Amino acid sequence: MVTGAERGWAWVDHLRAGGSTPWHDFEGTSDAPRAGARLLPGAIQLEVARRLNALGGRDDTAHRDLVEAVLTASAPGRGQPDLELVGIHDGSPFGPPPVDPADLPAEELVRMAVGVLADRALARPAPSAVEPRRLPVPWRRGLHLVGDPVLAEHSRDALRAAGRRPGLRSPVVVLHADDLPGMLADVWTWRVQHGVTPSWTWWLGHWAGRDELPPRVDLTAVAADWAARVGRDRVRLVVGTPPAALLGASPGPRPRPLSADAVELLTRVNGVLRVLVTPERHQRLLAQVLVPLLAEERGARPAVPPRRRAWVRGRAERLVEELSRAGYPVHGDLASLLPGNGEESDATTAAGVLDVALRALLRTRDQAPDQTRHEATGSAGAREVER
Amino acid sequence: MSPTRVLLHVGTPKTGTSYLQDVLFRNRDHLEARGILYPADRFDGHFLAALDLMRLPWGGLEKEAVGAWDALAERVRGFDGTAIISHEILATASRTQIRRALESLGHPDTEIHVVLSARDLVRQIPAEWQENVKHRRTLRYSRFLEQIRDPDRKGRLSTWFWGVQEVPDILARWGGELDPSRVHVVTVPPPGAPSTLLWERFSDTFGLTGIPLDLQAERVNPSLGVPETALVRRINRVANKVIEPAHYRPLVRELLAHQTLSRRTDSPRLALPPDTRAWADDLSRSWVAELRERGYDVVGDLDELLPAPSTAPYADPDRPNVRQVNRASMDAIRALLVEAARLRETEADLRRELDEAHRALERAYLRPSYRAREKLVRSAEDNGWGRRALAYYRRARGRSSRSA
Repeated sequence: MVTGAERGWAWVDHLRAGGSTPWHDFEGTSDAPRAGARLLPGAIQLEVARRLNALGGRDDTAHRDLVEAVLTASAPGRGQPDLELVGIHDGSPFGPPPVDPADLPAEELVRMAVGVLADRALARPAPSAVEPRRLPVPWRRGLHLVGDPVLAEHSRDALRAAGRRPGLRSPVVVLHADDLPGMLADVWTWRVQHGVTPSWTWWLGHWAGRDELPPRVDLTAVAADWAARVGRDRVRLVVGTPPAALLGASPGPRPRPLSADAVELLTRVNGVLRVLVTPERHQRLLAQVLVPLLAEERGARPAVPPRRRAWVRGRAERLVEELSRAGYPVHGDLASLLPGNGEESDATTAAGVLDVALRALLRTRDQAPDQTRHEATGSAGAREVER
Repeated sequence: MSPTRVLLHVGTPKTGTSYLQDVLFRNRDHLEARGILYPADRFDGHFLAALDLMRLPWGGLEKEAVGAWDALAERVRGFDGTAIISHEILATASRTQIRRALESLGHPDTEIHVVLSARDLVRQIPAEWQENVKHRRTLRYSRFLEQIRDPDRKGRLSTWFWGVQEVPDILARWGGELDPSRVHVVTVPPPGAPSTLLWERFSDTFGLTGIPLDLQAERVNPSLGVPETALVRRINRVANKVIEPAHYRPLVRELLAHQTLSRRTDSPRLALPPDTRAWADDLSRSWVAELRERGYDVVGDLDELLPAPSTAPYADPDRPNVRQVNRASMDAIRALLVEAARLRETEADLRRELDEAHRALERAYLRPSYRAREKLVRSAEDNGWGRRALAYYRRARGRSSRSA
């Protein structure tokens, strides 16, 4: 007669070996309990391991290490505690009820995967992002790239790729703009890549509630501020990507943004890293480890929820009117700031975020540590102790 | 070096934990001289360590918790004597987190004791709802009761509630790897017991008996009555969207709830509706039977975890007496007016100081040498060469200030 514990340990062995049979279909046996491992891993840990195996399991040390990291992890933050597998014991009247892992909500699996991903990011070597300093050209006019942070960064990348050195003469300000829903999505994405944790809907609701635009894309205010500093004629409003003649390099079409699910995942990882590392190291981990890890997760930008669409349209119309009246030189069509036909994703779901998290975990397994240099602190330790 | 004994007090909330922690913190130097370490540099040091151990976000406070558990454990390991760690949210730690905590404190080589203070469920359930309300929640009492009675415990609220309140489960998690004689249950005396009895039990458990301590509490977590809790919940509903957490804490939780409304002690107390009370009675009996079986060290009496009979009529906080809520509202408005007046006076004082500073600055600006330098800097900042030259000058001067 196979006891519940024997079947449980056999399933653990099966998962450690790369198996992906669901618990309710699994038939096997093993000695239990194990010496030095008196606690059977919780149902959430086991199900995340099973899904990793199903998605990309293989029989090698790197994958076994990943599965082991999941099985010995504890989910961060608030949520379900470590849950027992149904069918293991007769059932204690205390503690949360045992579960079939197949019935676990995706939200709980995401929480576990995010905790492991944060740990793997902390332990992971990262390339150095130190950029060589380039001497300025005294007679060249400087460029200030402001406005939509993702478009501005795209322009900076183009300048770097073209090897263009900065100028010393009083600058031209290039104010990057796009349709307002796209700019809002870009600011949220950019903020998430700098450590914030609010979800897209909360963040958008926050600004709508105040009837204000985030400062970076409050283009009227940004343009007025720069006009007062460098003169109105040197503020250029660019809708879309700047022309090569203005920038001195050709940025090309902007890449597809990180998918809404990927950005949502980053907000959750941020929530864990905020407890584990200093803000400076958190930022380095985002820039050098986590965002590159999600580089393949491209997709449509997050959609403006229906209840916020009227507010976004109203603000976009105000923006167009104010900028038209101010009379700055414009490259492109100001009317393109109005909500148009930009590709928007469906609302993010826990299942979608979980898929991204599992793929990211597999990438931490696949990318060999010796290919890259250690993260800038030089520490590959799992936890931050500097205060 | 290693500690001879570690006492880990892991809960539960609303069992006098704030008072105990306050006494331990304020007397920590005195205690250390007596060979008892309470390793904290700030009152909430162990709370931060618990957030770090459990990776819990807590309204931004978690950013101050980076590395806090490891630092705490290091101090404990480096002490030769008895160390005390106390925070009630540790009750909700998972087995994996508990194993990490125990190992970091020297388990199994160090003598580790787990202490859990416990109070009967009939008082704990309403107290937990009240804590929720004091932390900005707007949940009705009936909805709260529904959620915690859900046998599946799927919601975050019930998960948290049982995580910090289900005594047999907490002790199974924390005491699973310890001898039962090193697991101590301190029961909270029933209403009407001498007010010093709970402290005597803590004192006995933590080895503080005979040590002269300053027992004057600075931090307590006082309870509210039915109309007062109902009022705070209504305040949350209208104010949550306009009051940031950083302002909510001092204005609503501290000023209104703790300093003002908790003083209204003649209003009806929170209790359980009759059907929930019967369910809690049954549950408590099963807990007490289980705890007796396990053979833990009990400080007090396990029967104190059985709800005491009550003759007071049930007052529903979802349908509070309107006149009582109005009277509580008047007290709240008065307290806010007094606070607003105090802040206006503070603002006026600061304005006066600022005006004086401005006048002093203006006198300095009138000097011809300053005006000449200012003109030079402004013209330099208008072009790239000038800015570059200023940057070199400032670097050479060794100051980061941008003012000349």
